[in-house]
Amino acid sequence: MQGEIRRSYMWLPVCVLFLLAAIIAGLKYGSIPLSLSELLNILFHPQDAGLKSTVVWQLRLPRVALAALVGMSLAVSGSVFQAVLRNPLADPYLLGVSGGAALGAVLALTFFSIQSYAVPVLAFSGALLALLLVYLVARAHQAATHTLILAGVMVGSLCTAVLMFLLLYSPSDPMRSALFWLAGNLSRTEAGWLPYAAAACIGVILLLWARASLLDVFTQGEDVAADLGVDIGRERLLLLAGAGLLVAIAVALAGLVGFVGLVVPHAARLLWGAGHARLIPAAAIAGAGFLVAADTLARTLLAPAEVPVGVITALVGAPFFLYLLRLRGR
Amino acid sequence: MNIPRHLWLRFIITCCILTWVPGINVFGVCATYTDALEREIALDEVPQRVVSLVPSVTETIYALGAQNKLVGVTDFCNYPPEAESKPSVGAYNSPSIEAIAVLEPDLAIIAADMATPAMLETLLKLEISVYTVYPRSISATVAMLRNLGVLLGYAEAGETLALQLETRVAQIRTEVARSDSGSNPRVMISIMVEPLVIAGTDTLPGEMLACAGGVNVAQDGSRYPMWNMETVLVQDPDIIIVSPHPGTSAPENFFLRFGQLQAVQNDMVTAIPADWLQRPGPRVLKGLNALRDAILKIKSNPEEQGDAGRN
Repeated sequence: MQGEIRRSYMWLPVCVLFLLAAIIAGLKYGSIPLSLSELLNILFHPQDAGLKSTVVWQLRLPRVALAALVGMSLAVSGSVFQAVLRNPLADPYLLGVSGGAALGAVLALTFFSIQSYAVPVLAFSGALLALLLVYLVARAHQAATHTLILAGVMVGSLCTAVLMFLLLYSPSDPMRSALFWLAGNLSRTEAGWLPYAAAACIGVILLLWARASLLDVFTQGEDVAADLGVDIGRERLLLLAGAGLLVAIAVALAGLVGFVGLVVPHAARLLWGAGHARLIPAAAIAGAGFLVAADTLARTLLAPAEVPVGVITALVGAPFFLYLLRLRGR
Repeated sequence: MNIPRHLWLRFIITCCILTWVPGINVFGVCATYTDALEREIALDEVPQRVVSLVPSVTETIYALGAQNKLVGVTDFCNYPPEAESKPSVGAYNSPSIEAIAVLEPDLAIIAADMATPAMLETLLKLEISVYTVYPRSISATVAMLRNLGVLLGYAEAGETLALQLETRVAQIRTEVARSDSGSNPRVMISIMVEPLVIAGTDTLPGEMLACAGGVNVAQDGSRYPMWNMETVLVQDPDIIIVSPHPGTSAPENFFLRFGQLQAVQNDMVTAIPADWLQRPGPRVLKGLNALRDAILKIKSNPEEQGDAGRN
């Protein structure tokens, strides 16, 4: 069975089945349990009113869609960051993105309400600004990857310091909202934004996928890439900008959901190899499934209370990843 | 030396009298109090310079009329508005000991859960007496109003405040006991909406709700459970109380998106200021009245309280 799953051509059916199972579970479980036939009935009769229909259409479906989109974006951007930075610990938040986004969000919460659009907009801008700052600094130093990483960590620390300062001076309610938001929060579904965000993310993912062979070259090292005639500076800017855009959108939609972007690419790589032509779509689908499943657990584990989804992603993801590492060791 | 016996007697009797008359300082101690941490606090005179590290205590001091003794407050002491012009010693949860010391208070009033052993020790080294409070129920709030009155030399005003609250509570309890308990509306008190935090039964807002004749939908025993919207739709309370903080935008909008909620249909998503419900001070009375009003409003329109659509 393990051997079967690990065959390289198995990635597509395994990922798709996993995603489908996660989506069905996400729609089925919650405070009101639904049977499969009830669920299908509701899905095929969207015009029906009633509590269960409302729950599925207004609450669970947007949330599952959001989780899928965020999981997909984070997993793909994680794959790209890991390849471009050639660092196994790289995750979507490494280059100061999380700090910038968090700072933007907390600024928004300090001056506006959590219900306003300021939070996602400022989080998005903060993420991109942090990334831009990192890139400007690193390029000035002729861009070794470790320079980029160090610059990212520094920008992140700076943002965190300002953030702590702001939190200290904001009253307890916005502060609690901010902390909740920072832990990753999929319950904020601005349903109106979702299609646009989805279009943007999928577009960027396809663009990144089209550059899969370039990512393979980057994994070999930048000197190899240079020998092959790749314009490293330009290509890296494009790849990082694409991955950064994905993270910024994900963060604007759902706060800082941890662990997905680090572990899903690694898991996909361990299972089906490092070629990006396969890794990018596999990470995208598996990432979507992983976050949908984690969010379903987060909603139902201690229902009616919700566990922050970041806790579940790490709690479930870390042991699974250790298991995969052991598999590879054999 | 021969002192007549009656003079000795006189001296002893005088000493006894002086010791027992409050306010006359013979042996250095005027009164001892026991605070929320069961600490004994001995004060040799009525405090004249008080720092309040608790917003509800600040409010109480103003309500007692003792504000001229208040020399320092926290950044969170926003009521009454005059309190904001008093010198601040920092945030409620992280006051600056230096800022307190500069004000040279003779008494600091602290919430028991903020009074760490280290902080108590530091303040006592600075010769500042510390009195802790920790009211988490209506009766504890009433007791605090009385105790602070006695402590600050405003016993009568404290008694009046306490009696006001006690009387109203008793009055509402009688009303509720007389009415048909089967028609009591099911109420949800939302402390904040993002995340959606609900007041459980074992909290001050929960107790106020029960007193006002409402049935709390959050019955699982935890104090401030965090809910998701699905649970709200399942519970479908008759009344949703939202508690906006001063300066925050309307949290009721969060629920108005869900037209199928009974509370939304019946226009019973009601805002009551957070500080009326969550601050154990004199304004508990206002919160209690507001809750009672909301409940009476729905009781006077029994046809609105139908069970239609509820599973």
